[in-house]
Amino acid sequence: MKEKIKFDDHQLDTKIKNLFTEATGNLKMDTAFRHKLLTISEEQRPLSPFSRFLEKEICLPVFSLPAFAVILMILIGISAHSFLLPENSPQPKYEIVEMNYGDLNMCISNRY
Amino acid sequence: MNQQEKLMTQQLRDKNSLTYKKLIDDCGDRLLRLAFIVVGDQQIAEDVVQESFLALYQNIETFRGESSIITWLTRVTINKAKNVLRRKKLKSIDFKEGIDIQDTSPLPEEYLETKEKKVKVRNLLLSLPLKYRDVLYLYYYEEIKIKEIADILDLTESGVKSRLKRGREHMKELLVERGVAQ
Repeated sequence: MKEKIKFDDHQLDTKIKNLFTEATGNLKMDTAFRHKLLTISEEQRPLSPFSRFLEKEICLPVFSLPAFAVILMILIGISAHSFLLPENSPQPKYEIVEMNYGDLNMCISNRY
Repeated sequence: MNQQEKLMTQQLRDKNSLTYKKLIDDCGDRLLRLAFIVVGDQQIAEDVVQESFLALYQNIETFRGESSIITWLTRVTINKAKNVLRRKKLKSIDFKEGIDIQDTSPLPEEYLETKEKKVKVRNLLLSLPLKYRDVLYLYYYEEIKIKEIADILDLTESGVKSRLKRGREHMKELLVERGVAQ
């Protein structure tokens, strides 16, 4: 049976530090990289306010592509529905009234 | 910001190359290690550090001096490293060391053991959640005070202490789980 390893606080602190030392111990900038960083300082000009605005990173939370696609399709469906031509438009009701020419003249002469 | 830091800021604005060189010498290695702890890849870490210094050169005119230049650079490096992870959606990265696959000669056992141990250590660190990893690194390895860590990570001091506590507990569990010997 595997013996359970135990750490007291001080041992744990030491262990954590040693782990980071082991992981990063050899890591250093080489001469070429140092020179590259120095060269950038000479070549770089300060950004204008407009450039600074353009370079600003804005993270938009987009939950997932399928969910986004579904929402998009629903919106297209809703807006497409308003463009559909109605199949059976209600016909205007016309009432044809037949009038005699004589009756029409009498109406007009009574008025004047 | 004290007088020395104000002077350094002004010299950086004046494009004093000696001041830039001193800054690179003073904190370049530290920033590289910090970026490496976050992203787990040396090449990507170098790119992150390069972008951080680039950001410094581009924005030095508008630097308000609310914190020191080094604190600002450290904060920018961590944020840029986290952005790289977010963009590449890398949750955990296995450490990859360059191996010449053409060389088929047998490697000495001792070298193999050391390499294996290094990979194990790095994978263990990279499996620690990032929000604990950076705090533990800054506190234990860089020996930065809690107040400055709070400034770098834009947290309250109690927030930093809380993360340190939980990070230690998490690390303890990982060490016990993976049977890492003392």
